[in-house]
Amino acid sequence: MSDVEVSGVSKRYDELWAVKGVSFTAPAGSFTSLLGPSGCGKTTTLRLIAGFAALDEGEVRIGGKPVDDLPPWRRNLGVVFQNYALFPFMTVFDNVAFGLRRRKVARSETAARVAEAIDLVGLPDLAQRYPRQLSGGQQQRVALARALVIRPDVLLLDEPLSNLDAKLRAEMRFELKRIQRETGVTSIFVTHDQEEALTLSDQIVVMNLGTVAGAAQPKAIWEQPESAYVADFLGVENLFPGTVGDGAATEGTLAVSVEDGEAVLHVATARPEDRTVVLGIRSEEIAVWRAGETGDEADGPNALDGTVREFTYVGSAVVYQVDCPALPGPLIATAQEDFAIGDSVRVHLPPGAIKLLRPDAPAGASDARP
Amino acid sequence: MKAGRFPASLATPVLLAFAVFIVAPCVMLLVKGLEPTAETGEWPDFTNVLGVFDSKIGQQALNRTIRISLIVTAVCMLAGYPVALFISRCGPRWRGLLLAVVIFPFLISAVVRAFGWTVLLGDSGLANKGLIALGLIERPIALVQNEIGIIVGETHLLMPYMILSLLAVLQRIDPNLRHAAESLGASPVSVFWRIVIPLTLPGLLTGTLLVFSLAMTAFATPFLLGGGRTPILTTLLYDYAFTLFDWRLAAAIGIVLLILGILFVTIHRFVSSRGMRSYG
Ligand SMILES: Nc1ncnc2c1ncn2[C@@H]1O[C@H](COP(=O)(O)OP(=O)(O)O)[C@@H](O)[C@H]1O
Ligand SMILES: [Mg+2]
Repeated sequence: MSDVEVSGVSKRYDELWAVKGVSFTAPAGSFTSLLGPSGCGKTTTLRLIAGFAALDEGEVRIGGKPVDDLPPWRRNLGVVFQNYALFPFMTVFDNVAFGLRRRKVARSETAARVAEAIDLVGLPDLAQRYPRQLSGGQQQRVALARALVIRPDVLLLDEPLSNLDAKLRAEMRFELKRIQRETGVTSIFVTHDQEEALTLSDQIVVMNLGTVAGAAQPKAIWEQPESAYVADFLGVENLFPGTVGDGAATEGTLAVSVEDGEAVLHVATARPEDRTVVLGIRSEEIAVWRAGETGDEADGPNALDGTVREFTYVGSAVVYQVDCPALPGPLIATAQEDFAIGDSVRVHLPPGAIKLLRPDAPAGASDARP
Repeated sequence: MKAGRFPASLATPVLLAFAVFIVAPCVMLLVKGLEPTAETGEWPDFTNVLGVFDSKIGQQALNRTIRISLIVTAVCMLAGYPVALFISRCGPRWRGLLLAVVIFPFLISAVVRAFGWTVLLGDSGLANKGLIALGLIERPIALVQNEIGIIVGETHLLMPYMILSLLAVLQRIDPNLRHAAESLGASPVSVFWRIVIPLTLPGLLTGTLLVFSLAMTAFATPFLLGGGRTPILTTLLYDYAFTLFDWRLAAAIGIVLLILGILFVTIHRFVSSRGMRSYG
């Protein structure tokens, strides 16, 4: 088990910095996710750690030792690729045994360790089949077994679940968690799916345009994202730029005026360093009532009038798009109650649920790309 | 996949033409080649065909044809593989240019190509001068009007088939397969032998089939570069047909070539189906 330190790593393809100054540490035995939209440099970061591409700046240390001079075949890393990359002309057994044979492991031990790895990833007895004879989920498990059988210092996974259907993906997520716990291998997992990152990780590194936008434990990043970008990527549906007013609105709250709108919302949080902020609130935190509702909250400072514009049914609830004249854009809110399009409603944004987020400096982000 | 009715009907004219122009000549070849030599003989008469194997010149031509075809195939494979590998790893711009260079021999007529080689390989040609300058030989050696000339010319002509067959598979290899092997501890040499070669096996087999069959049936290049004293089956056939006007003997050689072709394709299919069993 080794930790992985990525410090100031950059990689350029012609004019484009695929990653620029990426730093993070994956502690030994931990599960770290690299989360970000397609094209933000996740795969490139993984390739730099594995040594498939040479880095232009920075350093990668594995177990405290710099690995930049080590070719991939000397790094002892397990890699699981998005498309699995199983050797098509080899049986499952030969695929899994490949790494052991390169290490000149004795025949009997190879057989035992392959069997052990196949067992670990929960594959039925398919050792003599060829990859094309397996389902996607089985191929996935073979890829995992092949990477784990060499007892790697670090396991690198590039969107391993993205080619599976929804049901299998949910199942494999638990499997990955179990396998990682049983082996205790330091894992770095690339994904664009916030739910995967949240459920699997000890640490989430959010990437944007080749840079790290934020890194934290799932709970922390969920409750207090570092910036509007991170919040957006972690599914905070409502984000409005605003300005923090002077003094306190009421006891323990700040008055924040929404840009391009009349609303002045009370937010129960500490005063941020910068007056320019982004207000963020999740749809399920917002209360929606029929117009005319009265009560402490419905008449309070953070209640707004609105009209239902659109709704989508998601099974456990209904997600509404509500036009509020006091806000610059539509509000996304979840409610149990049924409303029709065009209904007048009253919404409430609890002061404790609103987060004040750091706006993303557009200059800082575009530094990474030409 | 089941072919729909529409493409099938579209393919019919060509398939019919193929049937007529392949089956008919074969039948005529067999009729002529197996014609009885004696007035009283009965069809089929194998005297002429067996005569090809019996006569000294026929036997020599047969051995030479097989030998040259095997050597040309081997050279195309060994020399073409690195070229194809290099082109497949080039950027798109270079790849286009190099491909044009590879295909270039197709654009020159056999006569011009043969003339070029005659100049280069002649007694006072670049090849002999170079070898003398390097001190490898003292006097010019014969490089044309013999088997060496035929081998050089055919290799030049057929190399593109091998390179293009290999490129077709090399281009489609997922780079992640190489990376996966590397991450598992395989050095580049090991990756080449254990991953790249097996993955290009289909291309090697296609290239071998094309080059060998084309080398065996080539006429213009061996005719122009081989000279009169190194007949192979095709040039011998030409001599019988157009110098001696012995159509029966010519057809007999044709039958021998046909047998060779069928034999090679059969062996090739057997090897392919064994080697490719796991490719799906
Ligand atoms: N081999 C390459 N050559 C040129 N550009 C590349 C190469 N690999 C990645 N890129 C570019 O680098 C950026 C980051 O890519 P990647 O790391 O694959 O993103 P992600 O995995 O997050 O989707 C993309 O804009 C991509 O086009
Ligand atoms: Mg990717």
